[in-house]
Amino acid sequence: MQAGLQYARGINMKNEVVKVRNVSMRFRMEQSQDRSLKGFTVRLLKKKLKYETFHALTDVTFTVKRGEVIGIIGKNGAGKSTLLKIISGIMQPTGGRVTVEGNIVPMLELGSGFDFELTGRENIFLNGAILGYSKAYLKEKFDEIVAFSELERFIDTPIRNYSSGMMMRLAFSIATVVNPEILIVDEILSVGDAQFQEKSRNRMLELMSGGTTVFFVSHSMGQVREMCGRAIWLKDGKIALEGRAKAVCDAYEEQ
Amino acid sequence: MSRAGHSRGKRNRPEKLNYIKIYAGLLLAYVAIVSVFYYACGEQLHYRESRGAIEEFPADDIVGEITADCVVEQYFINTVCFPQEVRVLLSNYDRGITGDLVLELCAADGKEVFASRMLQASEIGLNEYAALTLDDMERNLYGIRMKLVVTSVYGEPGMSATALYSTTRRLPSSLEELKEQEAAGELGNAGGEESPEGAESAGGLESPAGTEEPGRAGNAGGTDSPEGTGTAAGTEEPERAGNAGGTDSPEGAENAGGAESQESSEEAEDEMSGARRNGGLYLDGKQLPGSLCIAVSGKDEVWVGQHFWEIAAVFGLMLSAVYCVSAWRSSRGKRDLFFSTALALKRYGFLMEQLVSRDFKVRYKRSLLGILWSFFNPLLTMLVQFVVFSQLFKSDIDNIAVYMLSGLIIFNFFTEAVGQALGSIVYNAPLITKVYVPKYIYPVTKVLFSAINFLISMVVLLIVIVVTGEAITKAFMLLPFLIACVLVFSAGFGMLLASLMVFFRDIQFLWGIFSMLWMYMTPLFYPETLIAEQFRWIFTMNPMYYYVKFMRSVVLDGISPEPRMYLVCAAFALGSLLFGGVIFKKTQNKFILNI
Repeated sequence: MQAGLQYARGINMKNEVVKVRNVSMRFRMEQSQDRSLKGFTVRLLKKKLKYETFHALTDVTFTVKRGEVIGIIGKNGAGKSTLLKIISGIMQPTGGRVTVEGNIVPMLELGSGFDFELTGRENIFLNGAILGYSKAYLKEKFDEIVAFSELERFIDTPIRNYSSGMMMRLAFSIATVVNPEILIVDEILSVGDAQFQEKSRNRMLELMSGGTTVFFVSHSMGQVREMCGRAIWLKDGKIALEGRAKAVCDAYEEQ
Repeated sequence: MSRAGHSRGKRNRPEKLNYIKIYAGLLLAYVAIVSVFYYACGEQLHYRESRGAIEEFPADDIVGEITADCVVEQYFINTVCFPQEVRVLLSNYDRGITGDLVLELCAADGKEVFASRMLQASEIGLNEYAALTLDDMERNLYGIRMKLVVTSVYGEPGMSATALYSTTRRLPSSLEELKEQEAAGELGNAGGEESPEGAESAGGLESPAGTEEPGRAGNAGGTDSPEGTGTAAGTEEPERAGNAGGTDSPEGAENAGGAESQESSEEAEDEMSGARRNGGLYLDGKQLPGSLCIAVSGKDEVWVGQHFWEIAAVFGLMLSAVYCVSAWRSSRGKRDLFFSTALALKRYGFLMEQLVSRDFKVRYKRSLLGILWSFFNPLLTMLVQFVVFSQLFKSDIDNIAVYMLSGLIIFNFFTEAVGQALGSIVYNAPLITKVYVPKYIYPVTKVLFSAINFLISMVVLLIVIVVTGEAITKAFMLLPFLIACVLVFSAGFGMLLASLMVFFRDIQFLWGIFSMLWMYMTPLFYPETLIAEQFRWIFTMNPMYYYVKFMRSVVLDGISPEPRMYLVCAAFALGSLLFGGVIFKKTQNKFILNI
């Protein structure tokens, strides 16, 4: 259930589960999107290999304690997703250091961990395996997942026949069955009908009260105010403001 | 600049491992594998087809009728550790003959007879090889100078056989001469490709060319004739004769002989025996240019077989030492390659299982026959290839069906595995950008998926083997080694291409062409001998050639390949994994920026 293989030595006495120290992310993007050998060679020969340096994150530093719910807000392209990818280990930062203690479960975007040809049942196992659950654990929790998603009737139907709401329910049920230590939620709570939204909100609150640390990305200030204790406002890859969720959201809405 | 990085921790430490218990399990497995290997390899572990064999070569002259009192002697240095068969090219002039022949293989000094045979006149054909078989292997005969003597018991003129010889070929008579010939590239046969390894084990038998024993000289000099003396005189220095090489020496010898014909008979006798030791072909004691057409085949001892248990023990101790260091590091909480790999396998085993089963389900999901296709697909593909290549093109390979299938399934396994692995990163982009999983999981999973397809093809092959009446031998127990090698080789190659594919999408198209070229460069549909001698070196650089050859040795010959093959196969596999793995590891952090 542990995503990474590196072990930090020693036990953190301050209960700081995520430490982000001076993290910078610099993309050296080639301007051309042409990914062919020919294009590359031609550009190389013409000396037109132009790289554009793009700072997605600049010197970001913060600490998150166990059980905190952190809202991350900001405009599109402010670096929210990059930051979450670095925290979950998908990307390596070009500068700085991230220390994470505990297993991270990302709540996958709609269908990204699913195979559309497989049935709901098969996808529960596939997606569960991708999230790092063990076989025995999934077997034990299978009924619970199905019950929460309310998809009993369709569980042996290939999910290409599911509606987007049904798929979302399945994804949410799989991701939250585990009581993860760190949960990453990237703008997905708005999917599903009102009844399921209510149910998932309750589940989230249940997880948060149970000590799960949550990173919550949203454009809905209402949700952030309601669910998060603290918020970080990212602007052009830098922390514009950090503090109590309410205050940060107010400031963000004012500008 | 600050150190960039990402580290993760777990509050509860990894569970305590019982290192002794794990070690005992591994040790038991090692002993079991080594024992099975020893049993399955059988005789091939100890002996291999000799590399010092003398192969048949064309004749261009005859020695003349071998009548009673005629003696034909061919001296040569034996480079086969355990000769099994000596053949000599004889002819009956295409007429009825009555003269029986006696073939005798003995040491050059005539003291020891290794084999002899009475050859009935009726057994002698027109330009046919007559074989002299040697008894079981008793001792290593490598480096012993021998002579093959052909005599006739009561052959009458007009009713006797003859032997054929080549005026241009000179069989080496000493190890020095052999080396010189090899250096000069005179030898076209297999023995010329590399120096026989047997020399290491048998080198002690080699006696310095210079030492002459008077007693032996006296024995050898049986038949005296002035010509013989003259011939011998010129070649008294072995070095010179060796340098002069093949056909030149007789003329040189005759010239020199004229000047020295006044020598005393005793001296001449000495020189004469010297010449005999120096090799060559003699008819009634008179040297003829060139060599009698003989062929020698047999077995060589293999060093590995001689010391198998020692090697196994040393290797086992080395592994134990590695294990101890790993366990010590791991128990102190340090990252260790061995244990972290094992833990990763444990942790991601379920994910790999799920991904492989996903591939299977998705591939056959909407087809009527479903999973049966993974059985029919190789069967039908191979049927088509078999019909095309064996029926339309004439071929003289025994059991062409098994010959082709055994090579094909190995090669198809490789191309499919690499073809699948190369897109594994790019096509799994949605996952890779969303959730952290070690990226090597993706290509490795694809290779495992292909391995399962390969095992299903193996069933097809086994059916064909049984139907065509080939035997299933104990050597089949060696196939897991081969499969592991091809798997590792494919994984390394697949990882290399998968990471290149991220940066250059052309790789997928290039691979299509390249794999086809590779397929035709590997002897799958044609016999190895179809390729001209001067291009055979291409095979030696082709890993798939070795894998296919290994497969055929087990499946067609029912025997283990020679021990060297294991080393070559494993070396290619590990080399590929190391290279592919390093490239993959170096580039994997950039994947996410390019997919």
